[in-house]
Amino acid sequence: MSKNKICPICISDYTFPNFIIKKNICNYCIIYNEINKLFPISQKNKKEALIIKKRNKNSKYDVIVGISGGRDSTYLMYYAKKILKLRVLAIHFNDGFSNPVAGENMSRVTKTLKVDFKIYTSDWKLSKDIKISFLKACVPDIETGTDIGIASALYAACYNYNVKDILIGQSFRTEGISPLLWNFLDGKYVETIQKKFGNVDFPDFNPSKICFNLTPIKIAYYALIKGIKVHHPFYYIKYNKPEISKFIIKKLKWKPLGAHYYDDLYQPLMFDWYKRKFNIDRRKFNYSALIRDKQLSRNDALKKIKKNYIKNNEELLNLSLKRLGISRVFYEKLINNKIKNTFMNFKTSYDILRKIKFLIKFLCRINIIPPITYYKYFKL
Amino acid sequence: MIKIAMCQLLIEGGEPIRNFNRAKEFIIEASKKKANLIIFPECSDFGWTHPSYKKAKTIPGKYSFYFQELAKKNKIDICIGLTEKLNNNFFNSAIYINKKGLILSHYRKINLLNEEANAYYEPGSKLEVFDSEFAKIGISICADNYSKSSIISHLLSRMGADIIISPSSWTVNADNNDQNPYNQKWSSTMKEVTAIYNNTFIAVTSIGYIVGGPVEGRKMIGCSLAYKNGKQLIELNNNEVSSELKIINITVNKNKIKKCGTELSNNISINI
Repeated sequence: MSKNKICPICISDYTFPNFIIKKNICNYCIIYNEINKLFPISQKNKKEALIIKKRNKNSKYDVIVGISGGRDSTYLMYYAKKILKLRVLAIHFNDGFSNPVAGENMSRVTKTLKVDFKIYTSDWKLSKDIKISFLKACVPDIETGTDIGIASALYAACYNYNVKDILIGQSFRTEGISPLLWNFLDGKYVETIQKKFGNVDFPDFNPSKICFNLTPIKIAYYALIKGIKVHHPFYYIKYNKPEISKFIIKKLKWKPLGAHYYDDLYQPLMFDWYKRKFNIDRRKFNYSALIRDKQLSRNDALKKIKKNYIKNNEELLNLSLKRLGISRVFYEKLINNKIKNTFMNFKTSYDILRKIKFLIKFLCRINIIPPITYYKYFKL
Repeated sequence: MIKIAMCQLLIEGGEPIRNFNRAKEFIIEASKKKANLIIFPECSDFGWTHPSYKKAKTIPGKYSFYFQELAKKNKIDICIGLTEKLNNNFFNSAIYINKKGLILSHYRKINLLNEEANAYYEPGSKLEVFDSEFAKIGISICADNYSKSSIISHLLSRMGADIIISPSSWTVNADNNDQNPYNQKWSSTMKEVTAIYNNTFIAVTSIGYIVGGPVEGRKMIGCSLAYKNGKQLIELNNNEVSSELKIINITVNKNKIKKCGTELSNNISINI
């Protein structure tokens, strides 16, 4: 494939897996257009909120909202409480890499909104070891353990507080869809990597606790037996990031974190890993989404991509290495070795998921699992 | 009336500069709110028992100078826990700096836990009370206040402490979400001592995840305490992700010790 290939509409390019341009549009824009039609801006959230209230009428809370202290989850909490009038329980997953500024945001905003706030703290030795295992595995998606940990904390909170609905503050419109080969979310994948490269064992599954090897069977327990649904309210509203930032700064005294995803101190290391080892710049799919949503011009996106992502990148990268207890020399060896794996090199749930892809499509449509899962897993 | 700022600081293990930058913001805030004194947790530099402790500085030294300057600039007394290097030894120390930037007291923790005593710090060798501008103060650190070690606070009280300040790093297991996480582990000594001596006892603990060392994986969740005359004045929030600053008003009791001499020993329930 030509190394000059870049979509004329967004800034997706040849570095994206399975990237194709046909008739002056890339396959990522085509998928976006399809999803955009499936989830149009509408009043659906308000109707959904009524159903959620009924489903949780016997519980103390209507919904679990996952929060990180970043812009999106902060606004989601506001939106759920003030606009949808839901009884919210805010849940944060702490794996020892939370940005302190994000921590202050969470404490301040939950207090201001009078939202109950609980933290699910991971087993540090295990979560740290999983991070190191993913580095040793030389795969791009080194944050998979944390992403699974977050999902499992939200499910565990639902189980513990008898809540049947989870709200997530993500939108394909403003974040894009990361290619599957860059970000494969699967508890079986975590299990395989950890068994092969790690030193700390997983505890037995307990639905009330964090579970890093949250396999599809375990998700099925929460989704099908306990009836827990996952909702993405931002799919149905206009969500302009700069305007939302201004709003929550003024209304909730929210403090900006300096960069997108910077609620997590591990991000600078991830950014470095993606960029230097795999020639992946994840901003490309974020900015592409903003271009499609007309929040960013293509020219500005191309300019931004040339700039540094996060201030003090080097300092924070070293902080992460120190916190993991690994040396810079060891990290550089991993960066520079020739091994470049993806989840396809390991035993995962992917083969099973492919066999039941039409069931997954159906489960996406009824919010049992995140709606774009089908597109991400089987269309890109 | 003394205004005392209790700052349960988020401490990132091995990150003194980041921790100090946070502390500085709270010093400025406390000063603006006219606090006379701000108290920070134990080992506010590297975090308690973090393996990077060997980068500690002498006292006085680079880190104490930093806070001495801040005290002078912001016209506020500061009590802070710092790791201390002395030749090849290390101490779990705390200093009290007055608003002129002078170190009035320098205490080294005595009742070290096994984890810290075996590999980290040497025990201190003196107890003292000293006169600040507004009260006679004694310092103890964290486990010095275990009920079996409460003799330290009893002695400080008998030496005349109006206020006992205790920079601390109370920890719990990562999965501890209890409403009463410490179950009187810390409050029993504070309650007992302040009831007997009619004085004030303020313990300020830290926030955050312990990411290295012998107690790696435990977390610090705040709930700092203040007691006076046997009664709890305040308990700060249970939190593991963000610092908290709370200002309390204290009136120093005059003629606070009702009894004197060996009679006082009858009230001590410690079992050594």
